[in-house]
Amino acid sequence: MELLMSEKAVDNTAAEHSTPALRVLADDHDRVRALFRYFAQLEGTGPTTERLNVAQDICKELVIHSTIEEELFYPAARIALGEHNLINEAEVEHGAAKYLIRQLLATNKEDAFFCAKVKVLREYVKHHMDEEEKEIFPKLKHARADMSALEQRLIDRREELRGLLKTAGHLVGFEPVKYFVGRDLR
Amino acid sequence: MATDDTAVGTSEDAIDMLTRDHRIVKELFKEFAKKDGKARNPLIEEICTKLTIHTALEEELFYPAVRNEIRDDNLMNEAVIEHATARHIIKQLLPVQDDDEYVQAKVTVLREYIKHHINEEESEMFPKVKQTKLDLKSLGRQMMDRRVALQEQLTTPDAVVAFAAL
Repeated sequence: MELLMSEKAVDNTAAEHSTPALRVLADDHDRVRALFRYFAQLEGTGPTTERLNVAQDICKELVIHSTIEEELFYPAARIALGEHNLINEAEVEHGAAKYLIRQLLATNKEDAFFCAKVKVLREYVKHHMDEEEKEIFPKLKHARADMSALEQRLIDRREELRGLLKTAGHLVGFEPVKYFVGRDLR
Repeated sequence: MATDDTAVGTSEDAIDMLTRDHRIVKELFKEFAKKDGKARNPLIEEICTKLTIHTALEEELFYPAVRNEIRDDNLMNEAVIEHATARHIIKQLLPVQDDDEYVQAKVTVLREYIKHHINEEESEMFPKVKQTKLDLKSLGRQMMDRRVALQEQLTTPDAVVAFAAL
């Protein structure tokens, strides 16, 4: 019990989201935030091997997370909230993040813009995750939306995608990733 | 609406010109928020055209001159990537389609990204530039010449999209 409570105290973001399905998504957000923080404190300049590896991990997490949101969470949230503006915005923001992910996946060690791409991706993704946690999640809780079936479906699909994208940390040119980030809204 | 980009004279320096562009675009986003339906389409076209001209002036003339002087490649590279992301959204907006359910969302996201970018330029980049010996008057004149040429070129949404895709 004590252990559980101390874990809860550390993990602030997820602790706010008592609805299990929302907690799955908030845990994803925390993992992405941690990866960006780790990237920012790496030593050296430009696209070092370690930076390229961390950027690949960030892209992989974001591809998996945005896919389970678009396939499962957003459709459920549209029904539960009966409004579309917030969800449409979230999808457009995913589109912008995927555009930057495509740019990052094309990166090599000579790319002078590599760190700038990660920095801008971090700012946009942070903005997006904050909006979800501060606007969409509270609205769903307020609406007492029944999300009980969603938790397991999110976890199952996430596992499935993780299996698909398991390529020893090497995403460049990997077809499933190209597929997931290759779709634009329009 | 204060949207005439060339009227305020050609003696403006580069930073004054860019700052005025920022004010004008922010005003246009506010105008957009007050309108509904098809009445928004001309505003969307105006916003996208102005942003395309503004980002071109910055990337072709202002940023290269500034990059030489302030020696902060990270700041300049981020600004270029933010432009590219904005153009990505512009290309999805033009030509405006009446049945596009995502119009409102695309404009909202574009507005948020542009606001963020403007704040970074005005609070970080421009103050640094003002501390250099860069001839902002001369740069402003070059930018005005290029602006006039771009305004003559980008007269239709298709022309804007084609230019933004370069």
